Amino acid sequence: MKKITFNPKKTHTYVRAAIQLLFFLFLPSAFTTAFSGIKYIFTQIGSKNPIAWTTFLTVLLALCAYTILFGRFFCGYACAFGSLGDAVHGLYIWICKKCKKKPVQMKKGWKKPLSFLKYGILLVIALLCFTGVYGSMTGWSPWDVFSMIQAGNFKLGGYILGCVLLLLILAGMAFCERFFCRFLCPMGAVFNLLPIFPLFSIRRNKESCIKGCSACQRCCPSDIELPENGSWMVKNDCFQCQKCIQICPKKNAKSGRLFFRGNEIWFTVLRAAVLAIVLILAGI
Amino acid sequence: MGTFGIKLLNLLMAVAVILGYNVTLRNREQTETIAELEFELENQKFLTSQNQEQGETESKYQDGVYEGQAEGFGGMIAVQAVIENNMIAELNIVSAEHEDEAYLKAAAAVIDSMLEAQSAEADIVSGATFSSNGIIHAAEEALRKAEEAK
Repeated sequence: MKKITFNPKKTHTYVRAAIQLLFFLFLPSAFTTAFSGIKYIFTQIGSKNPIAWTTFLTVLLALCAYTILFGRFFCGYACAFGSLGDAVHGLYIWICKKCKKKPVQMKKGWKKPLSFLKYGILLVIALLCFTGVYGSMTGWSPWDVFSMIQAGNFKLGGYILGCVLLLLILAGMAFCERFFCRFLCPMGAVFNLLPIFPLFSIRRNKESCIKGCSACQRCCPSDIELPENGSWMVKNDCFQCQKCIQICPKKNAKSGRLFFRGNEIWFTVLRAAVLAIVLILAGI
Repeated sequence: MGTFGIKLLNLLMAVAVILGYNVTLRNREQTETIAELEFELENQKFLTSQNQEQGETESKYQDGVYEGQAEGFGGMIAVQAVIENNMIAELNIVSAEHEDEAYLKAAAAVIDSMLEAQSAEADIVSGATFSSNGIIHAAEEALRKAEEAK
């Protein structure tokens, strides 16, 4: 029998899993609520009605403001759908390990073109809302099915298409980390279009990297090549999962801010706390 | 910095478009109400002579407190209707255990339109279809009880 020991190198993994679990249990609807804000705006404009201040809009604005400041921390740590994907992917990898099989993975070349799909989905949903068709379409949305199951409502009779789509998405999540977030999520498309301040994004000191090492890029769910220290570049695809910080053998990948260097775990907890407060204040 | 600037500009433009849209819509609404009021004022002289007695509209509801239930998103929603002086004075959501807070809050807007219409007729809140329908159907049931009591 193997002894289960606490591996200090994995502290970040444990902290992340704990934060994701808490958000999944207590604030699972942030993602759908924020996206309802987007749908609401297009529905109102399409039907020539004024855009009134609703909780959907508050949550949308709060999340966007948070993302502009801190990056897509919400995606990496708090989104229920993202956490579900991480869990499914983790489970698949674990099963493969137990069965001593090599996990099937999506071809690298597919990822880039597929990542444009989410903009298409956002556009289609926006157009459907704008023309007023969206309201009369029921039973297809995998998010509805997911929220219904989470709310404990299992009357999914009219949701066969939604169930099938959800199962397909779950399958995709297993074979590719952050499958939904990178390729399909319309809210991710919105976040990708936002300007993100380069304050808290992760940088590295490339000069002291081991030659030929690309551990950070390989463990990255978005296949990002980390920008250099002092660079202003921000990768909007970064979910702030902080895996690169953990994996770097030379501890080269670090938070862009001096104050948080070496204290990234506390900074992560702090950001999670700020996000929870923001979401609760916004009315979730 | 380049993409950041472009994205910032896009965001500001999107916000400006939405604000502009809202402002023009409000202005148009205002001019419409002004025109309506002027029209009413014109007709007032004629109307006052004719509009002597209209009598109170007969109410269908019996005073009291009634409760109705209907299915929302995650479970049952219970709505309480308070009838005073044959009018719907209050509609309260008594319980909605499995409803999501944000959606329920947004859907609660149907209560105002039901009070205004003095009936369970209201447009559902887009985005919160299930919760809106739950509240409307629960109110329908409560009001039906109030009608039957009469």
